Amino acid sequence: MSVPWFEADPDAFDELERVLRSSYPTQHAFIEDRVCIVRGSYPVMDAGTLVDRYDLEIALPLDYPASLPRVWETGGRIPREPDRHVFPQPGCLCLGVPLALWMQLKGDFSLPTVLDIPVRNFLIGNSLVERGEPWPHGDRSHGVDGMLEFYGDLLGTSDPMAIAKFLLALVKEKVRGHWSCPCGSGKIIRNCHKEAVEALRDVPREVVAQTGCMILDEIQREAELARPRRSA
Amino acid sequence: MSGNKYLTDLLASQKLDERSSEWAELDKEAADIERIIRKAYPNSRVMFTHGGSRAKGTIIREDYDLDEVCYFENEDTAPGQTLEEIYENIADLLAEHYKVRRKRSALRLSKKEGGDLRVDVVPGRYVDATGTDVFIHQNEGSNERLKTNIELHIGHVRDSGCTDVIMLAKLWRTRNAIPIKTFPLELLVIEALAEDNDGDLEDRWRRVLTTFADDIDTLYVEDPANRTGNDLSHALTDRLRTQLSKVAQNTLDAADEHGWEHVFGKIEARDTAIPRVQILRSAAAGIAVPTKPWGKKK
Repeated sequence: MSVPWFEADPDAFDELERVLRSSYPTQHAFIEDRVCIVRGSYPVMDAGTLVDRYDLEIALPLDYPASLPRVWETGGRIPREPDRHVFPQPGCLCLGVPLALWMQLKGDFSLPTVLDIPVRNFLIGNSLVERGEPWPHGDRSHGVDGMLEFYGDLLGTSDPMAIAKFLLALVKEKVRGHWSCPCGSGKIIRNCHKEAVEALRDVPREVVAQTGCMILDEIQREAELARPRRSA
Repeated sequence: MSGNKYLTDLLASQKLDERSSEWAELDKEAADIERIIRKAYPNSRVMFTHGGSRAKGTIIREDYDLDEVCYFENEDTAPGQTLEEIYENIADLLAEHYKVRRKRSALRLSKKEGGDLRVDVVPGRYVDATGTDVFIHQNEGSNERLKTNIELHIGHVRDSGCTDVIMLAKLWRTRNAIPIKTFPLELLVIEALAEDNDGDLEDRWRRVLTTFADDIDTLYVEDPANRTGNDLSHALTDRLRTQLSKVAQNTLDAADEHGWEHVFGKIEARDTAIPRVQILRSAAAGIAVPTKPWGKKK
């Protein structure tokens, strides 16, 4: 087991507590079984006004703040079902496609950033959904479909094979500006989805590789399901 | 504004008066529950009364519910031979009208179509014909039955001289999501102020927090209705004591550094003319980095 961040740098834990005291005084950090858990209520504020309040439990990863913490709503308000964007097990919130979050947060998964962007967005959305409104900025489908939707928006294609091949090439750093754009426009990347490709280059290779592999696994699974079964 | 003035105003903003819509809703639900149970047991003399914070005078707007106790006479077997049968029969009866969640001794009701009613029903049977002490069923723990006395509980809290600090402690519990039940929290506050309940609200609240922070392990709570037989240790585990202590210390530190308003927030107006959904839409429209929730396949 790798050394947790608060053991590697005890001052970082003191700093976390100072930030909680000054910005989130109803959230408190505990270390349990070598994991740092933050518990308490989170006031959803808008222009200085309390909009709603949720009870949360946040498990900070061992490599905090390099990867996304897991967040649970503990007040029993949000049903633990995929259609409410909660993983049935272990019950944490599906804040977003990991790679999309990495790009939007620029790889900063520190507690204040996570609370004030994806968590706050999720909770405002949930409060609206509770009142029969749609998610205010849309939501992603479950699993690989949601990832493909994200890449579709980013790269302009919904072809899973094209996306997977492109991502794996990106991991191997083989993508060049004169390549044909994965969107299928026939243009070269330099003249087409250049900005999106450059943004993806900033994402850690392992994050890109993970999503590429998940998409490939899904393609393989669907191919096996579609294959006619040999009779016994 | 002084700390004491802020805390006093905060408490005033949390008072739930008898003409409030929340109170009227609870009364309506209590009347419906009473009607359902009386109709099912027409030959029983059932005593209904409000337990909980409403009767104790410690109800707060942000965290209120109704404990509706329903006690049968000692010799009455119509609702069941045993305490467990009474508990289960009342649960089954109410399940025809509500969603029922079985708690340790209470039945938590919510609407069938969803939405918490904030009502707990506690079935029980009087110990004898005097109509004072009661046995209630327990789903958990080593004892299947618990002897208690709701009137003693109410009196112990209501007459403690600490109801204002208890209300503040309940708000603090809610705002910090501390999973302590109301009765043990009330007993802890009373115990913390047992030797010295002098001073203004802030003095006494600080005393409670300081005791929680420094001496939580030595605070002992016991049911005033059953000092020898009612084990409350299940309600106050080591983990919970640690959490109470840490949150109390953090609260004191935050209040010392930034003041009480920083800890509890701006005192909210009781009612707003703007519908909640409009406020939420406005908050959503102001989101600078819109993220989209995702989900996993079943």
